[in-house]
Amino acid sequence: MAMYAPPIARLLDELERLPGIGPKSAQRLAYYILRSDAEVAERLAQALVEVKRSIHFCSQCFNFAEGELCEICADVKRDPSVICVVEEPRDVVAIERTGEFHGRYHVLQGAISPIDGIGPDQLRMRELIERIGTGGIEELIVATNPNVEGETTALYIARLAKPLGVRVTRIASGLPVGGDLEYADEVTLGRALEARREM
Amino acid sequence: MRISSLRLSGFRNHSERTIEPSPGLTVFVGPNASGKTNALEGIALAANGISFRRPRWEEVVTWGSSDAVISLEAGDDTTHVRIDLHVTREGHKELKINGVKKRRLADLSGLLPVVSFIPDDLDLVKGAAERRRMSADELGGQLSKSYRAIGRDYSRVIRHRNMLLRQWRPSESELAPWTEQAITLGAKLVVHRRRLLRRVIDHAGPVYSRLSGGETLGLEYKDRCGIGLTDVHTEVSEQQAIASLESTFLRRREEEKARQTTLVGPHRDDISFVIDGREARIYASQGQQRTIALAWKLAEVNVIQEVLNTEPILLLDDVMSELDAARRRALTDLVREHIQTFITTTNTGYFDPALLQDAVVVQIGSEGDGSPSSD
Ligand SMILES: [Zn+2]
Repeated sequence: MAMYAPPIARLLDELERLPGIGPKSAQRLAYYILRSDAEVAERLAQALVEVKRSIHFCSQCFNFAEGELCEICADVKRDPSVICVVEEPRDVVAIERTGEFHGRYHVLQGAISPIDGIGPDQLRMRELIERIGTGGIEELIVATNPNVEGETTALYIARLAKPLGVRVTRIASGLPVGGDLEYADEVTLGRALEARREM
Repeated sequence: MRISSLRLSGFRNHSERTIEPSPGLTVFVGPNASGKTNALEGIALAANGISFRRPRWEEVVTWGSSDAVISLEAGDDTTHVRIDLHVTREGHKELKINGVKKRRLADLSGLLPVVSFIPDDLDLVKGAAERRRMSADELGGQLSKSYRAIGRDYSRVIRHRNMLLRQWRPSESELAPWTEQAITLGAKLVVHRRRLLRRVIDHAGPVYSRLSGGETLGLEYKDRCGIGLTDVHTEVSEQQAIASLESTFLRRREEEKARQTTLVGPHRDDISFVIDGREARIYASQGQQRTIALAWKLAEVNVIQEVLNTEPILLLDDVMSELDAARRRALTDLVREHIQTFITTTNTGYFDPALLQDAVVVQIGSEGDGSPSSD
């Protein structure tokens, strides 16, 4: 095992915890930081602290929010009876861009993926069911990604929500197969919302 | 389609190399571990996004190089295509077709089909069932993007489902969506695979008879989906496959939980060969097994011609030394039938001198190659 000075070892340790960062990438990032001016490291550290202090998750939909509720949940003009269920906050951005959707969202913060150790309990699934339980929700539009994990998540939600008397629909395929929502252009995504099917 | 130029840069032991192959036969000659198979692999990866070695992507980048680039240009009378595949040391890959970035390697399907034949393929008959399934599915993936997507998604569903069974002690509601996906995708896969195998055996049968002097070759599909129809000439509908899979999953539910793995579905199906009514796995001589493997490869060529209406590129890795003169002839005859062929060998003595006359012979690993020689 390589021996690093304790501060470097600690940095490597923290970097390796980040998703998609393996030992080699962690090393490269650490060397970059070590070689840069102190200012670079301070800006990075501040940005990290600042984002955690000022941004948190909306208590209702789990999108990013600055206040207790995100802008969309706080907007009384949005239809509370239709909820679009997505995996990530970036998917909210993608669907908002279409201008076709006027309901509210629920951000699962991921998709079911046993290989990655993610089951329903690691997602905001319980909170979704609780939201349905409070009443007033007529339709869930499941807009998880059109890949194996997104599809399974959609099936799981349908099995859970339909017995509660909620209409569950899935955005139409026609999106790039195996792709992510964020890569779909507005027109395609708008059409996929329009042509959603019953689950 | 024929490849007119191949460039390998930072790819395995080729730091920088450009090859202008023959429209007919190109022979890579060199000692063992000189990198001649690497050149063949480069063609397979750029043409198909998969190689017979099934490497992890980061493995193909030359040690000390930041990335690997494989570029090839190919065309026929009417079309011209340029493929650039770029792989970083982290294993990220970027594909461009005619300069346009593509998100998926699957976009290569059908563009530049290849048939590769390597010594491992000689185990087709007696090797693990996985080899036979893969031979079928990789051919199918070259013929159609949807076959490829179904195969890829299905294996992913099975990996997830096995992980769930093994590590999570899943509740029925957690398992159900995975089972549902295994059924829909599995049904599609088994139906596609059976149709493809029908085409393969319809070509491989006559080829085998010719090479063997009149023996008959048959194929049986032994499924674990509950369908139970071994003759691939019997059409199975998707609905029929779904119904079979549903009832079989239900029947084996407890057993799956006990054994903690997915027991039902096309990932466990087997394909077996029959010579004159006898199971080849048990009774075939080594010569017969090799002839079956060869007949399968020649059938792949025919199926590609039939479905895609184009000539595949033939990649032969060191198989000449494993075959006798008559079987070698069956392969090299394809060159005369206008199929662009790449062969690696340690010794050009296996070739008909007349054939070599028009061939491009590329020395690899010794003279004319400055790159270090280690695979
Ligand atoms: Zn919200």
